[in-house]
Amino acid sequence: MWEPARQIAARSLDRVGDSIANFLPGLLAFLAIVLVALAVAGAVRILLLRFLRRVRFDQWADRAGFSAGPDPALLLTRLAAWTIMLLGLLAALPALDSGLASYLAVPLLRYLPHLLAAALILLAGHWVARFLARSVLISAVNMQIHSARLLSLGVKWLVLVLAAAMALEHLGIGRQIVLLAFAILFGGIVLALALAVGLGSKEMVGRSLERQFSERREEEEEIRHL
Amino acid sequence: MIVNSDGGSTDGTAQQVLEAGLPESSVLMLAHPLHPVHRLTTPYHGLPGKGSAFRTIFQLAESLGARACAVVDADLRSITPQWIELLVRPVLDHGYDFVAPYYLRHKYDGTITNSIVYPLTRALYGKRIRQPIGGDFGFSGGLVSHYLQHDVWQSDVARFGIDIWATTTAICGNFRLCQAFLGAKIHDAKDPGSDLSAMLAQVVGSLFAEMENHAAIWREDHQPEIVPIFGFQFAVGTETVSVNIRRMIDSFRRACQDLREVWGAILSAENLAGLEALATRAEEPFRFEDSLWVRSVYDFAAGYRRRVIDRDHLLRSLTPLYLGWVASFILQVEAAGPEQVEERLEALCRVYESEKPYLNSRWGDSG
Repeated sequence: MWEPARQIAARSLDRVGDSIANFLPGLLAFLAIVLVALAVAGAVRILLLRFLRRVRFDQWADRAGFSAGPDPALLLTRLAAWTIMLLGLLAALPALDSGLASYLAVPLLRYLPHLLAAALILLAGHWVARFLARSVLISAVNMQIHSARLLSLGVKWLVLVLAAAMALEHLGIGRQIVLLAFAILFGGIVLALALAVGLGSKEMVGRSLERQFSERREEEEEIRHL
Repeated sequence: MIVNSDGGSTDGTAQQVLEAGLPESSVLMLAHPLHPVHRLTTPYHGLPGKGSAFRTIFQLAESLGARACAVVDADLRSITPQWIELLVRPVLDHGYDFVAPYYLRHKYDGTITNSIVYPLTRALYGKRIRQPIGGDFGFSGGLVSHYLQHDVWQSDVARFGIDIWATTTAICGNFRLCQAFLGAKIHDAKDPGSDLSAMLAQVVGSLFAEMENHAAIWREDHQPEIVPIFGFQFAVGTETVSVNIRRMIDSFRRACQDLREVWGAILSAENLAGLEALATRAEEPFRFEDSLWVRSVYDFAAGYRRRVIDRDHLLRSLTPLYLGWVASFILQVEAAGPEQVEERLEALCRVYESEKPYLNSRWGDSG
């Protein structure tokens, strides 16, 4: 009576032991990868921060229009460190040989390039928007256009919306909706401008053009600057 | 030899140069006049611009072993044969290397030269060259060879910065400098499409680029040095010029509101506050103080060097500020004669010189 029970219990314990023996190397590998990722993230954080401080990244970011918060260098190093940590975690999960872990990790790793591309598009969009907005502002002021700031703001948001739509399209989020929304928004802006110029502001535009031409005539008579 | 360094003209210039008759009286008054005078018209190579045209002439002068070489702009109306003699005689007879032009101009003309280029060049290098970007120069053979040794012919110098580059290179190379009085300067009506903002950006950008290249020289102390003037100085009548001052002041005032963020990145807080106070001041007449103007120009130079914002943006944002100063200058000299105008500009030059320590402090240590 007791012998079969003991044998069952022994088998059960053997199975548990085997399971633990099978699981332990995976766990150790998982912990090792995570620890390495942690160490690499820490080192990257220290070295990258030192490098960015040396090349005066904060000033450059400020000039380029990427100033996010009071300390862009620290923000970037934190971002890099957390990205390495996340990558380490995703690389370590399959080591546990868990179906769920692999199920989560593999698609996430495959999606990562899209995520990075979208982030790059947004960053580039932000930079282009700021650059174009400043170009338009300075040109409009030099041409003595009254609504220079409004024009510049319009250009900035147009580029930002375009960049956001491109990024979302790249991520595959609501492709059709984003495309439609963008087309409607862009078309709406153009239509509104056309209507404003064609109907509402006909006289104002006429006066403005007339003033523009009369000023051009005056300008032709003006001094030689060189 | 007469050379037309042609930039693809379609108005028959090349043919006119080749067919031009040269009566004996108009030929250079050399010890031994040469006949016939050779004429050559050739398209220049490289980047389109005046600098590339100069380079072709320099190369020809060097290959011919010319002792002196003069260059003149293509759009001059007041040029006479004597101009060539005036530009090369100091080289041939007196051993000078660089002859800058000295013109009589209307008091409202050449305002970029008067407000920035002349006083800044003088403050930086100590040489009183009245028209550093006059465009018509005389060079010695040695200076021509010196120019050709520089590797600048694929840069903005080849396109539009040749005048200030030629002047600055001659100054910094310790060549012997003088000026030639050429009388009035009248050129063709300006291109209606020419844009003040682009023109100012090109001229001031070239000047700032030269400042960067020669920082080690200009950061030393230089005592102002008079550069001799050759030629008989006489008074000439100049055309009347109409100016829309209201529009200039409006442009400055509007820019103080709209460009606050851009100027904030370039100007010191004190100067920005000074400009804003000036823009909002209602008192008449409008008066832009020289010290504020000069410090603002120095802020722009330092900002250009430190690339505080995109350089083209920085240079173009100077336009309304410049218009503000020009409006103030015109209001001050409206009733003044040529001598009083020169006195007024002399006062501006002295402010540029006295504020040079401010430029040094803003420029930074590594340049």
